[in-house]
Amino acid sequence: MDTAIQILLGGVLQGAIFAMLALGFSLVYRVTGIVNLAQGAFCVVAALAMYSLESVFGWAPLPAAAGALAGTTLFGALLGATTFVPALSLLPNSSMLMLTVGLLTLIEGAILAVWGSQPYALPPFSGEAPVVIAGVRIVPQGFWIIGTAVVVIVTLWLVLARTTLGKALRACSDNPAAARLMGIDVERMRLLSFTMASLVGAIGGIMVAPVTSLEFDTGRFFTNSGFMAVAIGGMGSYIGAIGGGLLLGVTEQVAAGYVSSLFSNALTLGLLLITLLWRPNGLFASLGSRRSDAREELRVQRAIVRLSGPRAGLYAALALLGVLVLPYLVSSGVLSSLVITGILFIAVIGLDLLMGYTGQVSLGQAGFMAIGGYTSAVLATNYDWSPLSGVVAGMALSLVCAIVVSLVTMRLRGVYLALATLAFGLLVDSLAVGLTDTTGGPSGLVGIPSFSVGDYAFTTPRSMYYLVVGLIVALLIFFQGGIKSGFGRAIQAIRTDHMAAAAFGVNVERYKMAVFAVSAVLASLAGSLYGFFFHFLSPEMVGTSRSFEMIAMLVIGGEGTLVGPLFGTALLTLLPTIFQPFAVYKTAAEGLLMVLAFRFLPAGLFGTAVAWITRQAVRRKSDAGLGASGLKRSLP
Amino acid sequence: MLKLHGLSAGYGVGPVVHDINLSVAKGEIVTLIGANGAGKSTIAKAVSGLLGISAGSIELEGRRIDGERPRARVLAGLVHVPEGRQIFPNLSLRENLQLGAYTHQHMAASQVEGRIQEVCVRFPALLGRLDTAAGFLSGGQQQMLAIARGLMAKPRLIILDEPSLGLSPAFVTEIFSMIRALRDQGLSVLLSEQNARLSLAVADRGYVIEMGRIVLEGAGKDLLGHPEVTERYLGGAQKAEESATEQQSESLVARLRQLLAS
Repeated sequence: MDTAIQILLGGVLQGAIFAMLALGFSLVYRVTGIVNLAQGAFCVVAALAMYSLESVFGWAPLPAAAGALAGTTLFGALLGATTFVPALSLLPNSSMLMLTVGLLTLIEGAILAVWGSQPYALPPFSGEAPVVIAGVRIVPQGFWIIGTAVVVIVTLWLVLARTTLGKALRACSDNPAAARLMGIDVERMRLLSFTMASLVGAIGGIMVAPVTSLEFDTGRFFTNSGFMAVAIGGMGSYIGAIGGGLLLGVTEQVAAGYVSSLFSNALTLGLLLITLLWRPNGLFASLGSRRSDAREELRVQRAIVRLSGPRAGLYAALALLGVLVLPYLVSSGVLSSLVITGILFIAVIGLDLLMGYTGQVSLGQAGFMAIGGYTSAVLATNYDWSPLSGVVAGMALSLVCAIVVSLVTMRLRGVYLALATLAFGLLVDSLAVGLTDTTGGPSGLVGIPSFSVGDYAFTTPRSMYYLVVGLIVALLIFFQGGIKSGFGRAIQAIRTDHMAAAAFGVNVERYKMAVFAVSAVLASLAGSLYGFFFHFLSPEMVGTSRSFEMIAMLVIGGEGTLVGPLFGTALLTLLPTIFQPFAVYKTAAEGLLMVLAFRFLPAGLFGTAVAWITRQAVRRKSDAGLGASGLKRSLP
Repeated sequence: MLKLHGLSAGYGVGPVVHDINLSVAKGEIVTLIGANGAGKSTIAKAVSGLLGISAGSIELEGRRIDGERPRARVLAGLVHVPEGRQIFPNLSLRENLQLGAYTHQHMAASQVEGRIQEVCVRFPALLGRLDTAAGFLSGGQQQMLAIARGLMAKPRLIILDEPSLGLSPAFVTEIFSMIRALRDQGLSVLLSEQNARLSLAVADRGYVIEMGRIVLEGAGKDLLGHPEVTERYLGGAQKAEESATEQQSESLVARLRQLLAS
């Protein structure tokens, strides 16, 4: 009985933190309609800033806490004013979500550069001796956490519900144009919500730091938990954020206490998926509220850019020639990186079909890499299957998983789809860590053989290189044709306006499922090749950070361009190889590039280059008096 | 009160409205009539600042406001009730109305509440449902709410964009009599309407907009009797439509007879 109460109490503590995080999400979402995935990173920044102020500069705890909160809030305001708020009027919703992924990566990278990768812990605010009430032991920090959570929750509620400022904030999310007409400065309200959310995150981070160890990427955990809490409770509901947070905290602790700490993660994710299936708008969303996808209005519409005509063929031929002679020009280290670039590019092609062309968001692409990678590696290593049949088995398993995930997410769009795919990725991740006997657990699977077809084994990087290039060329030719077919037009119609597409008779669900499956199979293939090339596979090689990294590659290269993401993939894979000493800045650079790409090159490197080349061509032609345009803007 | 001089405005590529010269005097109802896409809403948006202008000037009470943000224009006494009942659906009626007085931040809560009661005298249907979410109101009530919200800011000039769009005839009559009552209290009204008959009947003056240009202007009564206006906006087209349907139904009846006979 005591244990039960103890566990429940632990759950409430955890839940209080999640509730605070969820409120941060809810705040930004209610004002801007965007889920800010960078939210969790502010927790870590504040906690580590407090640590440094205390231990390096010798401040007393109270001023250190105040300083850390002020600093983090200021940082949040700056970041919001320079990136998030201006981007709101430039980017569609799905890209905004990716921008916040970029911000998360950027902040994590900055933390890594400043504080390194070791874990930190703060001393508790008022001693460690637990208080015993009726036989239940409570750590003093628990009171701090609960107390602060209550204060934050009540204060925020008062501000939102009772003040004119609160009404103005809510008006901005309800109808920005009308809010402007009321004389509300919408941009300022957006910035304010972002800043307030970073303050709430910072408070949560400082409170939880004494009972958790914090690393540069702990922000990701906070983001995931807060996002899940708010989705379980209901995206736009205040009570929902709190209820969702508490429910998530208690479930996690109960699962860890009674089942197994390894699978508590998996159980929580299961809970989330069931909730999404049963009540897609969250448990606490009022039944009368509008459908959540009603706010998926396109704030900004971007056309797909494409290079066409004889010139495109010439460029492609030249590029292919360059790619074929490249292995003879570079060192073996760079050659290995090129092979990795190619392998990842295969998965990114899938992502481009899903995100760039169909307009769906997936934060779990690496989950399929993990399925493919582990299936083929385990079969080839432990069961003596040939690598090729292992790859095929992995692809088949990924296909089945993709169809199941599709069925679950059929009714979901936008942020909920993003969340479901994130949950899927985390689920695969926790299974890869948890099923130690099969996967080798956190330390990874060793002794994976080289890839082979029949008697020919691809043992050298050069042979792997040509294999991967061959695969990519075949895939590109296939999909280039596919995109011009009826299938391609249908998925691009879904991207532009899924309701209109459905009205024209496009079976939206079936096409979405098909694209998701294709994308999953490509990721699976990439995952298998990855394992065979490294002769080793660990969960973090195919974890959530890989999913985020692939999104960065896609965005930097150019969404919806098929070949464009190759440049993004190459850039992010080769940079750390070429600048070895700067490896510690890799994450920060990745985030920064992604944010900059969204901010200044929303069409990506390739998209921008194509637009430029085409403009030049048009200019030349019109000079010659022809005037025909080589640029096909396909707006289905 | 309001003077537009040589105004051009539009979206993206090029201007939608060109060289608009228009004025609204104090206590006057001025109506813009024209077909869908003629540019009426574009003019309304340019005046309230939702849309930038590419040429010309906008003067409110002798002061140029075309460079100012929407907020400054609300403060100057200009309120725009946009087309399509742009209410805040998830906020309660009371909160919608309170936000209408957002620029009057010196007003105490009790004063705002007093103002709500005052404004809602004209909209008794709203009074009973002040704590309902606005999204649950009927279309007509939402339009009422949008106008009431606009009045909360105590405007001196109110722009009503298509207030009768999609409303039942009873509501339409009600809204137009309310517009007249507002004018009688000294408010200036710029009305943009597709229902030319009713809006010209209530208006002191009117402008006919076609393809983004003013093609005709004059007193409401004169325009109502103008042959071109009658032909294009007051049922010339309607008659043609009616006769077409009549012909159709006649031929249908004839075919039915044939079928029955065989």
